[in-house]
Amino acid sequence: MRRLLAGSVLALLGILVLVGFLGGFSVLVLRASWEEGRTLVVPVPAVLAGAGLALAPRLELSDVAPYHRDLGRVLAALEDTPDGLYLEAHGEGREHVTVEKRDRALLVRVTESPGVSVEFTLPLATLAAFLRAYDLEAGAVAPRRLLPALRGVPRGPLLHLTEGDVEIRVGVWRPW
Amino acid sequence: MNRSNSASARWRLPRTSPAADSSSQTPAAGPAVFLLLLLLLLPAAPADAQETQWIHIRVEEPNATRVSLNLPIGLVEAGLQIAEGHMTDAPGRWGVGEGGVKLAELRQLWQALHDVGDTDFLEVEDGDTHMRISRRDGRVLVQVEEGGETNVRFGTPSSVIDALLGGDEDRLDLRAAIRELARTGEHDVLDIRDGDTTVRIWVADRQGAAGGR
Repeated sequence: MRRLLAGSVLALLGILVLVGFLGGFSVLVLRASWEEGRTLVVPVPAVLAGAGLALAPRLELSDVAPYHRDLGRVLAALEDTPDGLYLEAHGEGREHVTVEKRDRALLVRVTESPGVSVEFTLPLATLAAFLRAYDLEAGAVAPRRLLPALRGVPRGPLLHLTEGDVEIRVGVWRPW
Repeated sequence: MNRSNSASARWRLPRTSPAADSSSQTPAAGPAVFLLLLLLLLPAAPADAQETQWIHIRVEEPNATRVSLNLPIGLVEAGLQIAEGHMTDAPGRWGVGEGGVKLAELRQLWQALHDVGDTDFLEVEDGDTHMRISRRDGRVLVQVEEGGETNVRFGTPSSVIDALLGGDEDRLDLRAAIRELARTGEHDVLDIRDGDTTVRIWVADRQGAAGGR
């Protein structure tokens, strides 16, 4: 359970950072609901988030450097492969994990038990843009270099976390 | 899928063309233009779909753990390309132990077996263990049975071994082997039964296919 929560929080933060660099009229919509139907909706215009994050310090990610070329090859291969269910795993209990490619994105679904699940979407274009923006020599990414590249994050859901009465959804809304 | 038996096709197969992503082609123009484009794209879509081969791996354990991995050949090739970059085998050798096996010797051995034709290469019976390596109808078969509990069946077209040993002088050509495996169509590759645990690998030309058992 802790791992699921920790993973979900990390995924949420990652998505928030990535989508924060979006430009144009995109809006990052965070919707949280919890017990007794209470709901909170927070729309964040991407241009606003992007402006703030453009001032952020560069991200030191030296661990990525040794795998940068390999990741690029995998992503290039994934661009060419057809949609479908790539991985499905059932655990001893009711754990269930699937990885699916659909519409140039990887959809990951993890169900730990009924009512406890997380789904997130990794657009291939966004991952490729991240690799392009990565400075191999410095082992880091300058956030502003991601700005133009990440405008292509498709609209739609990015994260859906459910745990009992708590439900969190993050998605990108765009008028076209 | 091209099933030509020409020598050039055996050693160097063209890469599978990427499947058309019609969803990304959706125009923003009016419905008439969209329908026209859709009609133009429709005849091409099934042909592309046919060319994609998948390698399926399924592992089932008695505690209800099940893992199914469905990998398009293109992705497997990319994985092998990465693995080749990390391989530490000494050039010209393969395997573990005292320097492994010399690839030149392996090629000579395979060539000698190739010339023999369909036959049992090896049959060992030791107590309740029975192992047999043979070739039948252009397929290399390895069968191992241990006391009725364990059963291993491995089968692959001979042309896959040809491709594996036919590449660079110093390396096994894994990618050529996997391309050849895909070219030869739908078939089982590996079936292991050990008690209640089963492992199965097969090739099929569509995602989720059960394979030809």
